[in-house]
Amino acid sequence: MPASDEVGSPPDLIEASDADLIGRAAQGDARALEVLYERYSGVVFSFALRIVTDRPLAEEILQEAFFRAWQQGGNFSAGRGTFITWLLSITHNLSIDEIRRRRRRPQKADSEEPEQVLASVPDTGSGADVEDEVWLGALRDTIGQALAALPPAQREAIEMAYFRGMTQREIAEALDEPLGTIKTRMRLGLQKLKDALGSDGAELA
Amino acid sequence: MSDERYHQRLENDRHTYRLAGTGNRSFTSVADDIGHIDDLVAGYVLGALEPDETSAVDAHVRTCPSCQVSLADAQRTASMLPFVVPMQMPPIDSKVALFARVAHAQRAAAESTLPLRGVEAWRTPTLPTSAGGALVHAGSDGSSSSTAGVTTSRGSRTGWFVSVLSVPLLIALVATGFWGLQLQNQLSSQNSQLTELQSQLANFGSGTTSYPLSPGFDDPQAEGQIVIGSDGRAGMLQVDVNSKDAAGAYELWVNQDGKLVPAAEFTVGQDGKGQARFELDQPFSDYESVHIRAKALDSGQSGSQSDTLVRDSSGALGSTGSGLEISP
Repeated sequence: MPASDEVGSPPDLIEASDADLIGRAAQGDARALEVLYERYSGVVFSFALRIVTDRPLAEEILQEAFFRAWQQGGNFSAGRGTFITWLLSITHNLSIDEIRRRRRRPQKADSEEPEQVLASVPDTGSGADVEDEVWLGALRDTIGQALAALPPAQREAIEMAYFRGMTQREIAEALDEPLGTIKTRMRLGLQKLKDALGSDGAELA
Repeated sequence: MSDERYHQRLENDRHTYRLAGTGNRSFTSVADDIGHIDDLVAGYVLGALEPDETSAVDAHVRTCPSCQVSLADAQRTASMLPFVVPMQMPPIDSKVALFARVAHAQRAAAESTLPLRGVEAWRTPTLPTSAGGALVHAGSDGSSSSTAGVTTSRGSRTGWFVSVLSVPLLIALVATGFWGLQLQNQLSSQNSQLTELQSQLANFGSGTTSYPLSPGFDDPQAEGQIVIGSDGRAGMLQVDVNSKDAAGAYELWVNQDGKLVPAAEFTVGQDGKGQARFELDQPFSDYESVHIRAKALDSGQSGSQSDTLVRDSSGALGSTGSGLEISP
């Protein structure tokens, strides 16, 4: 494996865009993949950990997500979105699949009360550079504020779906609410998020 | 459209959703429209729909440019949600494991002569349809086990195996005139066996389907495939655990109605490789999943062992995967 971290990577790679890097990685350049890993492993790992709430499992998902990104990098199209949103969609699918798989196999973890996404969890540092950290911190604040501004019922519906892998029907049953109500909450909540995030969302995607 | 009018329409239609072709519509964005897949968009991008609803959305957006825009719009918003999670860094071990896996996959791909791309070249080999197949024989130390081998369509490997079998015998034949006749007979016998096996493989290769396996918790570096014959029941298994410490007895389990049933046993040698042939009671596609596991000391118990390799009916991947890219 390449021994260097991003700091030790060639300057042209460090400066390269995500799209360029994944293109090079798809051509077999593991250093390019390593630069992407240094940039985004924290985001991917944190996201997976939030969903599966199990560190070893989140580590597996992290590896699998980057491995798949490397395998399928040739299919990535910058015109359809950014690399990080693509990578996080892979991560989301992997994580949700895993918790649904666990749900089919009764485990004590299913009885635990899932953490709230907006609960305060201290940062433990990041491998990303300072500029990235600042950008990610600002982005997290913006999205956190937008989520916090939602009516609790709408926020809850979004959270149960996106971070806990529950279907609308499952959410309706869990909350003892009509299915239509849950659908409406999701729709309105997402719309309000879009309005609140405005250009931030467009910039990211 | 004014907010008041929008919310009035929203209220009227809140309990219904309609697919394409209903009602009079003239909208500019999902926020302004009630109809089409509007009621499903949020659930879709949040991953909260039932499978039939997801299929309905997929089918609809293929032919509806307006809803494609709506969906992309909602996906942009949903794609920001991961960033709300406070950052935690993974251990360095994760990086080491990832790049070890990448390096191995690159090596494996480089060994392949098929004009395929990246690791897929190794993961999706096919059986030859002609008699150009290779023979994999049990090692003298029994490390390779298995009664018959699985062959890929890689020409170099075929040539290598044939050479391994033939060259020593040919050298011996020339060098030892005294034993020449006897060795010639042996060679003839082996050639006959080789021809027979090649014929079997050629027949097996007709109409076969290859299913890549994915690494499980126990062996994240493991790779392998299952090739199912045209009858859907006869199969060949080939694994490479990619670890010298993984030698030993392994089992293939099939998930039949939620219960794991042993289907074959095989041995993984010191080189990390193993293969087996098996015959299933039901067509392969009827099983929910297959699992490759190191054989438990207590024979017959799948117990709480973790998988070395796995595949489920949707093509979903092992320890962490989903079936996003691989079709069964």
